Amino acid sequence: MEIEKELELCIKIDEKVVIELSSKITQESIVETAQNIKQRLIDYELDREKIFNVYDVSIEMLQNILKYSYGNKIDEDKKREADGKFILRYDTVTKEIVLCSCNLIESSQVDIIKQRVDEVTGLNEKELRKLLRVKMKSKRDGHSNGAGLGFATIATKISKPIDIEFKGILKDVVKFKLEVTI
Amino acid sequence: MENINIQKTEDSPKVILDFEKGLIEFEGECYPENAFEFFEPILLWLSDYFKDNKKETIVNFKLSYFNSATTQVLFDIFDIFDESGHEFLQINWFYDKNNKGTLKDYEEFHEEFEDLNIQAIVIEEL
Repeated sequence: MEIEKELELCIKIDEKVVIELSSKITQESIVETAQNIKQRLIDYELDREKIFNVYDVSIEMLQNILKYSYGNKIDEDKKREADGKFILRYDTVTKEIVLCSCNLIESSQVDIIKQRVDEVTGLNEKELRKLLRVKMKSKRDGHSNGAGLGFATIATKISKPIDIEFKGILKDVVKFKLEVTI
Repeated sequence: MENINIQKTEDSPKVILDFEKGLIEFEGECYPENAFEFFEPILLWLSDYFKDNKKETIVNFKLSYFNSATTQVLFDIFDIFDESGHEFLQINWFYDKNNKGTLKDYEEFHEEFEDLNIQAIVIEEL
């Protein structure tokens, strides 16, 4: 059975797609996407602090897809290419921005992700900063698999708890959806 | 000891490692695809530089954004500074007045490495 991969990388404003960028996620497309996000939000005259947070979290989410997506490819120059979906929704009335990513992962990653999201859920800013410092010191975690530090970093910049969903696709493959609000 | 000069790109900073001037500087955004690979020669240079070297040294961090992988490497860099016991080391952490995140990052490093001389410098736009 061929796995259907959702390929979309776009920015939506009031549910309308205004920019469609690339279907394959690479470091180059992440740079392009991040610059587009920043420029678009500057055009909408959003608070600078919010723009920084959206920019930072978008890059973390996109690089997570690039690194951990099931079936990602690495060429001889160690450049990765992954399939995944990333959407930015901006509500011009509430000024709320929702970032959503979706990609396939190995099922062995599910418990690790759940654990990492659980450990940041419900923590206040001071507690999150303390956790970040513990993770920064943890070479074991950070160097081999930066997602633990990534989730803690994301958690310091969002206004609602991290929302995650998993849906089994094949025996060892799961569709992973991550949604955050800023 | 050879100096290292790395040009800035969209996702990696300009890096100056100048032995003669005692200048270490990072400027720009930092979220390369492989942060550890990017910083490997830099970490080696810094380890060599601080080996028995007590000359006056200025370190400037002018990073407008860095990802979580880079945060980890920055921690390694601060470890090198800290373990050197260098007395004439001044670390300047520049931050954008509109970006509280980079000021909070400074606070993390300042609290964690309390023996190091780290000062935050606010600028209009980083």
